[in-house]
Amino acid sequence: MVTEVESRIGVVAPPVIERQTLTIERVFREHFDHVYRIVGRLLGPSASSLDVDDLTQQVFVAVNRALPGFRGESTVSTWLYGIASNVVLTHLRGFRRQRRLRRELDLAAATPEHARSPEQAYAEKQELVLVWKRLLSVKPDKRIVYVLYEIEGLSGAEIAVALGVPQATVFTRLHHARREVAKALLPLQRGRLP
Amino acid sequence: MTCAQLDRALLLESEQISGEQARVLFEHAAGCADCGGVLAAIRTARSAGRAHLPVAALAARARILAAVEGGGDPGIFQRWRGPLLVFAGAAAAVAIVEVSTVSPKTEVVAVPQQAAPIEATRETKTTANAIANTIAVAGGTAVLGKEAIAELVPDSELTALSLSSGELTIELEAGRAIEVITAGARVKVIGGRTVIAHRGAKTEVQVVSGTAKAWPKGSLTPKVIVAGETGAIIKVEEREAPKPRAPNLDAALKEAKAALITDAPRAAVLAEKVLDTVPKTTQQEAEALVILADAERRRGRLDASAELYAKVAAHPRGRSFAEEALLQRALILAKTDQSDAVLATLAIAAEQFPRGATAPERAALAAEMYLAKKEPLRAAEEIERAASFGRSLKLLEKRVEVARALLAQDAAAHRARAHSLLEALLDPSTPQALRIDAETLLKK
Repeated sequence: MVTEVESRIGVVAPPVIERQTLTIERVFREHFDHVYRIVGRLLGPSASSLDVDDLTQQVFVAVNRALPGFRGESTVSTWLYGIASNVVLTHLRGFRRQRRLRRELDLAAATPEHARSPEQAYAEKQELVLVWKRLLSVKPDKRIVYVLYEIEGLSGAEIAVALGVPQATVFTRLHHARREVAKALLPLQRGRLP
Repeated sequence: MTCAQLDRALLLESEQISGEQARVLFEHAAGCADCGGVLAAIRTARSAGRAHLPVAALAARARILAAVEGGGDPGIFQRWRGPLLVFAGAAAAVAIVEVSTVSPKTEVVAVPQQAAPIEATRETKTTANAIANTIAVAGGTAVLGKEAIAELVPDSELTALSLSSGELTIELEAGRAIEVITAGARVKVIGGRTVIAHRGAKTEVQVVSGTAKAWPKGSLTPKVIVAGETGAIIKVEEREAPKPRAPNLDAALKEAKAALITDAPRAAVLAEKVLDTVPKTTQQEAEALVILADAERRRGRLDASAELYAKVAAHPRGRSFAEEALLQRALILAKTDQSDAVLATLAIAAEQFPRGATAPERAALAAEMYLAKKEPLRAAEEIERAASFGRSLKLLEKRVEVARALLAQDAAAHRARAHSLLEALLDPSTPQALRIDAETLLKK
């Protein structure tokens, strides 16, 4: 049975050059840390490591199933970005999940006793919390583009291939996400001009 | 936000605008509070976003690979989230057969939270029973003896077991380590084969190969047992059976914890009240000690707080707080300029939690201590050793400081090592300010 995630993966084009030697073991060995980091960043710092573990596992299960159809029309890492994004996007569809992530971020900000060095960490964390809090309220499809572009450093063209959307759509989503994040951070930036 | 250029300012530092257009817009932003603020916000958000660097625990990595290789359906292959009890010496358990058929390669016994204890027999040599009698741990296995009662410690990533009674044989790959906690001791098994038994009032540790370290209850100093020491025994006091949690104390603990943020003195008073009445060596006592330690630290009573954190770390039920407690103790000692004591505490933490969540921060603190002692080479060793622990902002910052100190001490002799530290910061995921610092130092 084709799952929703797999059907979404179908829009992503797979590789030719590495196709012959590409096995799930190799993909896992070479890209595990990378995939884990992407999933963790797409979910944000309020996600538990258990959720990141689960979704990373889902990504590799999906990779394993999609591997035979991998045609090499993009790099492996771009292909993985697409799969990871789709898995996370499907996961985040639930409004409750998103609300939970935001709530946990609030809790993280309000409970400094769990931070490494509470008083100091609390102050240091405020900026990060503010950024992610705003990001978690951005719609998941826009947030994913934002994370891939701003945090992971992919180009618009790479994101377009990974997500299977036109490049113009990537930049539109990026623009909206940037606007929302900037709006939230602007009060902090007054007097701190570049 | 009123500037007409605001929407265009949002395009800066992206591929959407470049060349002359970008230059003009950057110049405008430099003098415009709105557009300059937007640009600064974009940079801040990018930097804060990149500071979040999730790193998988080794056990999680192994578990995920096992699930994927086993054709794992993520909906069925569930990691356990609660205590897992395995009893030997009773009837074979159907639950184990069901779980083991899901992913037989993993030999991970998985049950949903709140599941009934699993019972298994040792006599029947079927695969299912072999699995039931064996607990998969990080880097090896733990085989339960007849009538042994053991429990994987929740959230320990398969690196800690609690042995209530009976005998446990641990077999680990060389260089791997797990902990076994009994009522009277904490035993760290490092590679090889070790048999640990807890009966009545004593814990016996028999090292066949490899090494083991045992911390008697309440001690921070381990007893080292090497291969061939087959009779090492740690005697412990007769201990009462674990007591159930007292609901009234749970409410008091919750109140104390809530007061921590806004009113530390009150939190301390509430925690002390709990400590007056709570049964000794219980989880609740450990929790009350943590709250009191935090409260004392917040109200500036650092010596008392450091002492309390040491008690938490040595508490028989304090394992889930121990790593953080040791770090907090080290941080307090650092504030009071006791660098040797800091390093000693960090060494204990590294022994007990070699790849724990606080490992990057511990490495950064150890490097800081060595820098304070004018020993940049030792500081560099700490940073280099921490490379496999994952990245943290503090550790990245410390790389720059250590490299700078190395160059200042003897640029000719230490240039290669300093450069090696700095080159790791050239990764695009490094916050921009640090990357610029690294690039500047590399040019020197």
